[in-house]
Amino acid sequence: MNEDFAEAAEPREPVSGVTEPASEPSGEPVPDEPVTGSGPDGAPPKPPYKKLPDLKGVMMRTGPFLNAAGKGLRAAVRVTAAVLRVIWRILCAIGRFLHRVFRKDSIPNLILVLALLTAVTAAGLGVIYTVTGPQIEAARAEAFDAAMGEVFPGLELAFVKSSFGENVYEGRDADGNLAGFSILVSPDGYSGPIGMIVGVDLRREVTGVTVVSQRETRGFDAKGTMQNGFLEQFAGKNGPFALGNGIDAISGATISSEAVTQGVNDALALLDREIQP
Amino acid sequence: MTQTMRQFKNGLVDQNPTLVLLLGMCPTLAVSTSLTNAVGMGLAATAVLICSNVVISALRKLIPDKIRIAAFVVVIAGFVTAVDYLLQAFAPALSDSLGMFIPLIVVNCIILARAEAFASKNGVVRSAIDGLAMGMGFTMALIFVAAVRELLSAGTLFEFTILPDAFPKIDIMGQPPGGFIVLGVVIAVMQAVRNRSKAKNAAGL
Repeated sequence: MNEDFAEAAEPREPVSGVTEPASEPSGEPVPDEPVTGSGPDGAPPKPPYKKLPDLKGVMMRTGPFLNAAGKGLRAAVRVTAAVLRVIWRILCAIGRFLHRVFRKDSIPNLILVLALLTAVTAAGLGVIYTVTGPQIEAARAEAFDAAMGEVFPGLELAFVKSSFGENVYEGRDADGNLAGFSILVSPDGYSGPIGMIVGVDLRREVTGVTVVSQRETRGFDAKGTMQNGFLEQFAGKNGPFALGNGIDAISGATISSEAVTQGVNDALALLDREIQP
Repeated sequence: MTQTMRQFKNGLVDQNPTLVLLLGMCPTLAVSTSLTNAVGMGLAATAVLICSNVVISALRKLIPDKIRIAAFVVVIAGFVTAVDYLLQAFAPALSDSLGMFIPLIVVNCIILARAEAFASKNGVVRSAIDGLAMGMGFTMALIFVAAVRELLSAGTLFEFTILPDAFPKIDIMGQPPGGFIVLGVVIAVMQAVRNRSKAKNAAGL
């Protein structure tokens, strides 16, 4: 790029050479003189000197000024060229830097692309969440109320957290009267906790039991034995319950049966201080 | 055969992601316990596959090579989360029964494999068709496996009782070992069909 600049600066050079054409005429008329002097028609040559002293005088007088002006111009051009060259070099350096930094595979560019992509994705998800969020909350609340209500067959109740315990919910009917309690318990089953809801009415009788989450083996799931009368055995009775004493275990799933029975007892125990049978 | 036809044949048979390439085995085994789950999972994965293929194909010239996998995962994770939100909002029951496996679509090899092998090298329309074809292949495989497992373990299809109660239910079919057994059989059948058609083609030539 140095060469580039040198070329760019060159057109200015003739400007500084103003003095040169001025000095040339002083030399030229001398070789011209014999040519004009020996004309083919043999006419007497014109006195060749008359103009020269004039020109020479002009040269002598204006020369130093032109010379000085030329020197000044040349210096000015040199200075501006130097300044421009420095600016050009800085621009080139910046260009090289940017080129290196934002090359497709350079680290800053990798960061930039990934950050942009992530930001756009996050913004998109934010938009989707603002649309679906309330719907998700509503669906969850509905599922929760449905599960809570399942243990009170035939009743339409709304559930609010009770002061009796972390996992106790009060079921109130349309008039706001307390109708019973839904209690979340999670006894340890055969393979992990069994999430259950136990419904208890104001006489401390179990109204219903439902299993909301479990990882027992297949024979024990909602489609299997769980619904074939096992859970119904608790309804309408007071605790405490024990297997073999009014509660028949599921054959082949004694541990799960015991866990569920224990869960119902746990739920009743949570209410012990509040309601007596 | 047009290129589109060939793409569909690839997705469903020749390069069926589940039955031939054996990608995405984990969700296949886990959600193929019932047909409803299988169809739900298949459609969710197909939706993610089409969207991510389109976006990745559109961005393929902008994404530097060194971070392409990270960029693909960001795009895929975005769509998976969107699908997860939509399912939770509008199909809570399906969302509950698929549970963890919707978020896990992010790491479904099929989607990353198509992004890397196809979408990052082809145009947007071709990539969309590829996503649809591969998604259909995945869904088809899930449906095959799930139909057998649900029928044998619960005697139902789409939760409608098909087999009489007297028919013995094979519990193990609903459990992981049953998944492996049925998947193995389905893969074997698929391979037999492909071999036969290959032999027929060779004979025809």
